[in-house]
Amino acid sequence: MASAKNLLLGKPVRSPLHPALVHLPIALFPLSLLLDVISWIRPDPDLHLVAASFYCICAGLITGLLAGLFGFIDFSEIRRDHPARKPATVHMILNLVALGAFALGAVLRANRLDLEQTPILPALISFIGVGLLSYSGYLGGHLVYAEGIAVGRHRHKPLFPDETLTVARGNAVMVPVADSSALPESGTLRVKVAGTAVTLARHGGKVYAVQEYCTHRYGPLSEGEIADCQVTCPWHNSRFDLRTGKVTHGPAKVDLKTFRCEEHDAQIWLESPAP
Amino acid sequence: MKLSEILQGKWLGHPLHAALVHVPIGAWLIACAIDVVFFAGWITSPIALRLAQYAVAFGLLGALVAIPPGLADWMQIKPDKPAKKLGVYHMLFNAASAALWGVNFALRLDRPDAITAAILLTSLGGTAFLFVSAYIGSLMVYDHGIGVARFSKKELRQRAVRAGSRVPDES
Repeated sequence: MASAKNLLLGKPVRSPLHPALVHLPIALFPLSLLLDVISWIRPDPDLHLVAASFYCICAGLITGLLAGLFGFIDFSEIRRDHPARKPATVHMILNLVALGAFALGAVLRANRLDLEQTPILPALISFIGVGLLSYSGYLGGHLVYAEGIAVGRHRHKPLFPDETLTVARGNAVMVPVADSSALPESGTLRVKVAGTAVTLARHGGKVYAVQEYCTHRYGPLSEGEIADCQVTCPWHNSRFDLRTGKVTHGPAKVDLKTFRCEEHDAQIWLESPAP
Repeated sequence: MKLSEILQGKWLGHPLHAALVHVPIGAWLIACAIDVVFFAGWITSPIALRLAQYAVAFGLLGALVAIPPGLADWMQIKPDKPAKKLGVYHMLFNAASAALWGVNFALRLDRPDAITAAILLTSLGGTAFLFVSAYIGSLMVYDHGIGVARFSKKELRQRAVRAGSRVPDES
């Protein structure tokens, strides 16, 4: 199951598949609108602008649906409490609305392909569709470039933790945060103890705890690669020793905070951070 | 804002190059698909030929516009990073692809009524180079993080501070 999902997430090719597929609808829908506009400026039956615009929309719909399928897969890998979850949801809704609009436009166009000029209503629908798509594409860019979604994901072999385990500060120094079985070898958990975000990682059977955010550009270390008792940030490949938090590979220059953690009674216990 | 920052897309909040390349990639792919099925004889409509022609032109325009932002992005990569070299290959394959599509467009203007072997070959070649270059581009982003957290680092820093992480001194 996890391996099938890893395949659909594009891990074997080190690249997500949704962003690779969206080139097609993003190019085709605006091209169609452009052809509509040209059909008004230069109506000429030999140019077949209206029909070409229609087929352009059809190709956009087919490739858009295909891209959408992979978009759902990528979406499902965003942690439930991730700040990117909301823009991702808006991105998805806008894309579906835009596809619906273009489908409606295609229906309106289907029987009038011999016209020399695209009628105003389907052109207006395309204009709105391209507007929606532009904003949604902008949000897609935000997801990758501002939030780092899918960046370096292929190096994290297990699936991402699907939520942050939130634990209140106890009276005791050590608080139980998760069952031992929840953290497999080379896996990670994301924990928040009294507001402090911590990455738990297991290497060589032992559990280590470091701060969640990388000290370079603040990438999420709970989504990093665990190997050789080090964690590699998914974004720019800064590497840190899990035992000491020390930088072993740049671009980061500042060491990570580490937290004391123990494992007994089939549970992982984490030091409650100082208030 | 400096010219390099405008080209990199600081005003937009995202890398501009990545947003623009949708146009040549999507348009040229569809043109190539049409060329193949037309050459194979599966479709014979002149509409398909027209659409392919429009798509190639649209792609050429898009590619031209995407060059300056791409160069600005590349210049920002530090020389010792592996992505710097990847960027050079990315650039070379893009140049080869764009050149082939340019030739392809000229050939189309000569023979607007058919897909000749020369049109098909430049179309396939342009797409092959494009595929390699686009894949290198995706590795630059998804494997090396180029452009990632470039304009959002202030917000991300605040997020890290709020979550109790140690952060470097503000520079």
